[in-house]
Amino acid sequence: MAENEHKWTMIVDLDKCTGCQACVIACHAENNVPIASENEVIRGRGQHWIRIERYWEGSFPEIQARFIPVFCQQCNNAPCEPVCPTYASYHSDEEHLNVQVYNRCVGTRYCGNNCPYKVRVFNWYQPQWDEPLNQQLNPDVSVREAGVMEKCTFCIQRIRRGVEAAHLEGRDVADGEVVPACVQACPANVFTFGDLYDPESEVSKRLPDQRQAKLLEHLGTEPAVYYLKGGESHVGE
Amino acid sequence: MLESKTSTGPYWEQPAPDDEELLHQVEHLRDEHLLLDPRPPAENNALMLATMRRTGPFFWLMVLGLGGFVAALFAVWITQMIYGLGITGLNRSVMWGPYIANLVYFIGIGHAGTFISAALRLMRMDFRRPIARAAETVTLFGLAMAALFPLIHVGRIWKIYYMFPIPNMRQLWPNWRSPLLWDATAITAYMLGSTLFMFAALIPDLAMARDHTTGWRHKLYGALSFGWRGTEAEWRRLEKLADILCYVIIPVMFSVHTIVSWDFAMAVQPGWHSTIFGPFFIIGALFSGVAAVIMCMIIIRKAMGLGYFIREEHFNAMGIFLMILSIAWTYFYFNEWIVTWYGNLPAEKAILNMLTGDLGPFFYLMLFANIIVPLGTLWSKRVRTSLPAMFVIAMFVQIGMYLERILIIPGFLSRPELPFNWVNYTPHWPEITITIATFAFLGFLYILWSRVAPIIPLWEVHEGQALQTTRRMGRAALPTRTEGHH
Amino acid sequence: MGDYMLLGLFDNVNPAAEAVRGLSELGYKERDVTIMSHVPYSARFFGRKSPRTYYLPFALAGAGGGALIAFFITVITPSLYPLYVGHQGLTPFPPSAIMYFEFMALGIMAASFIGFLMQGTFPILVRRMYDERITDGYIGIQVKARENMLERVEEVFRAHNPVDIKRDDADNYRPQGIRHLIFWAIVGGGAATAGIIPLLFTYDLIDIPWINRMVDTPAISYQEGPRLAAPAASIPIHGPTLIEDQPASERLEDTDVSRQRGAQLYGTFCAVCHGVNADGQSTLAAKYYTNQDSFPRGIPPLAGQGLSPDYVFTTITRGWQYGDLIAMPPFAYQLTPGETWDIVNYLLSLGAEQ
Repeated sequence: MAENEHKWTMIVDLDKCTGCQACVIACHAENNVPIASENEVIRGRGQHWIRIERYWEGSFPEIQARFIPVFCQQCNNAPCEPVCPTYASYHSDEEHLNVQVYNRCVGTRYCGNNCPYKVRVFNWYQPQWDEPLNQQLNPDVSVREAGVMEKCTFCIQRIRRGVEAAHLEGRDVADGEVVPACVQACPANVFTFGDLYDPESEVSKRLPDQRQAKLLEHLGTEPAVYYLKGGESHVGE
Repeated sequence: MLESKTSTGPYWEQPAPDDEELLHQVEHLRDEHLLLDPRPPAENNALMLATMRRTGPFFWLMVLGLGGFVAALFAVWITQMIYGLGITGLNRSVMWGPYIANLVYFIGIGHAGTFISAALRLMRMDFRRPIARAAETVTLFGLAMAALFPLIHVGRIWKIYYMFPIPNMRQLWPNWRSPLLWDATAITAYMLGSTLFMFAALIPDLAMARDHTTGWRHKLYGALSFGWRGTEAEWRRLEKLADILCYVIIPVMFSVHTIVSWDFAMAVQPGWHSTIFGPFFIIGALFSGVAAVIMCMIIIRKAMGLGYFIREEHFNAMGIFLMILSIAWTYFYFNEWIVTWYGNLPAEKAILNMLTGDLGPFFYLMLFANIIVPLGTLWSKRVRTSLPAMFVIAMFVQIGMYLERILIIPGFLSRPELPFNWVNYTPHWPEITITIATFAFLGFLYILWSRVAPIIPLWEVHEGQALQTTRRMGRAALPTRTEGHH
Repeated sequence: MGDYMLLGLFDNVNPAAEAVRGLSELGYKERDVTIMSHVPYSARFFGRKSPRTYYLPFALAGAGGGALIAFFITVITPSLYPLYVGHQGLTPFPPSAIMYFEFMALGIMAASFIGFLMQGTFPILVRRMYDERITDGYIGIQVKARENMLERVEEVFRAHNPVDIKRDDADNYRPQGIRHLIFWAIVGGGAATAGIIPLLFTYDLIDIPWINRMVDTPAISYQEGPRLAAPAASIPIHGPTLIEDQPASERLEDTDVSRQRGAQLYGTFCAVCHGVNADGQSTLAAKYYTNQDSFPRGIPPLAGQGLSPDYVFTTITRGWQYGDLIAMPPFAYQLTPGETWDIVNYLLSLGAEQ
């Protein structure tokens, strides 16, 4: 492992998730994610980098809701990467993240097809914000034009800033110093974010976990997101 | 030659047999077979050139109508560039829709032309002679239409050069590990090979046109025919070149549609990730392509009055070919189906349920059009030699094969792994307009081309006529075929 | 005097073949006699050997060229700028096989066609003996005969019922010379030009400005509208200057950490004009290089100028103006006083070193 390498990892404790969608809002605000209209959402174009998938278990009246926050799993063997003809989607060595370079994207949408989690969103239209909402856009994140693919970055702008600030002080980034927007906003502490290469980080301490599972693990994509789910626990009761 | 007295005139002036009964038989054979029915080449040349020069009001009406569609295509495309792909019906799960289905479909159309031309040429099948160029033209324009669709499909067409392997300021070369790049490479190779192949075979006919035209046409054909005189050495080189191109282009043809299928098979999308997709797509491509060639043959025969060249025997042969392909397609589809069904994986089960459920009407129509219609009718020679019947059958195959692509691409995509993302896709006006307009575009190019280039390879027909004759065995007259080259 | 070109036109293979035999009895070699026909008759019909063709070198060259292109794409380009995708190697075998196959096939086809043209010494830019009836099914036999042989050759033709005999001075059919080369030079030049045109786009020599909408991102970033630059005196500053040219905030301690922060901030805010090394050498500076008399360079160097910390601080905060020619925007909005002091510390450290 090189000196500057980090393995950014997320743990999602499903037993804690209440489905409140605060993470979705935080993500929209942090990453300048365009807001799709109601009509667009009905047409299947909900444009979220993170979404709460809701599944129903059982039948009425013994019905239970399950919530799964789904966002880019930052796969180690990412299916979206090799299919891109322009290297818009590639694997970063430093962060071990699956990165999307907007300026290289020509919009073939092959990555979107090949993503089993369907977490890649496409800019169907030129994104627009009504005045004065455009003034709240985050200057650290570029706004993507129509025809470009985008997805969750684990708030790479925060990661970069945190790592660089730590380096200036001649130290490595400390656990908890970098926090993506969804993690910061979650009222139920569903998410744990950190560097898996750092043995002292909270993610390293919590993994492996008896309740741990990965989404669509059988596909062999090796996600960097771990879901924790107890067999007995229920949500929505 | 045994009958040396018959060989004093040119091949188109062979004396008739003395025997009344044999004469009757020979006349029957001449009626049936183009190659046994030689006419003076001057007559054929004049006929061909007359059809090329004929532009009545109906022709101009067609040009205008089809040209209107072409204009509509570009208008919709530009609208889509300005507003973004949002005006189509695509969504987050169904990122590829009819544009890609059209790409597959038109490449499929493009397969039969070269196959008929190249494979049958190598196997010395004579029925290809009059239809080879009509088929190659379908290939060429089919590929041109197919090449249009990746461009219409992408989000940022103005950055399309990012995908080309050319030096650039960004110092970034395209990712050749992407199936899309294999696809672009294969289609380029195939398109170039098909063009060269077609052009090489066109040179003697362009020389013919040069010799019998005046004015700008004379100059144009003179330049394009490269000063062809038909010397022995020129013919030899041309035939050698055609053979080399045939041998190379057949594997390239197979690779093209295999790679097109890999665009899907390489994805982890359920229903797509299948090893049989390569051969399955090739057979499907040939199937729809042969049907397209049959339709083209019928249209040019009717519209250009080429009944002398394109005869029932050719429809018969193409009908048999279509039936074989229908059987093969059925085999592959069943194979693909039963493996999925027996495997019973939840994600794939969802797709099978969708095919027999929501998309049932399309699915059963596809099976009807691709299996029941061809297999139920083409066994009969009367059907195979009836032009209206063949047109209807070929049309059914077109519809069936188009539906197959639609079911595979936006259909399968609408049932991804996580059920939360299941959607139903409906095409919107841009896709529908562009798809219809593309068919018109193909027809537009085809009718313009038919007025510029001889659509029948006359020299190949004449060669066949020079080498075939009838021979007497006992009380019967039989067609005999001589091989000019070894 | 001199040579004549003769063309006998026959309507059938058999008399034509007899005429060819008659010519060879007169002593004409195979290469002196050219047979033209409207379909590919076998050379054996005329009792001659099949002409030779030379496709192998072309096909091999094409295959080799294709393999080189494939090698370039599969091995060289990924190593020029290595990017890893999907946990694959830089040059995995299966996609390489596809590239080699396609490019070699492409090379063979293209080179064979070029071989076809070159063996035929196309294009034909000179007149040649021909008759337009040949494409109507007649067979033409062309001989180049000396004047004294003229009668005997025509006798041979006449003995086999020719449709027509044409005769012309051979001087009208001289071999092609320099025109041939000129033609190929034009073709080559045209191809090279066509190859250069895409490069004009990829190197932004032809720029299409309106088409990249990503440039006009609506996110309000540093130094972007809608906050317009205000007159210097009206700028509200964190910790305002109470006395002219004298900052109101305390200078940060000149530590290594402060200088490093300053270096980073300098890279973000200042280097674009003042240059990475603070020597006034930047792409942007070159564009301001307008008035030789009033100023040696468009943008002054900073390093080693012996400027006072206060002066640097207030200049950064309030901007700087030289007539109406050059202006440095105020950075009061973008930088906190602490950050400005970091930059000051960094800049002065450059001066201290020199």
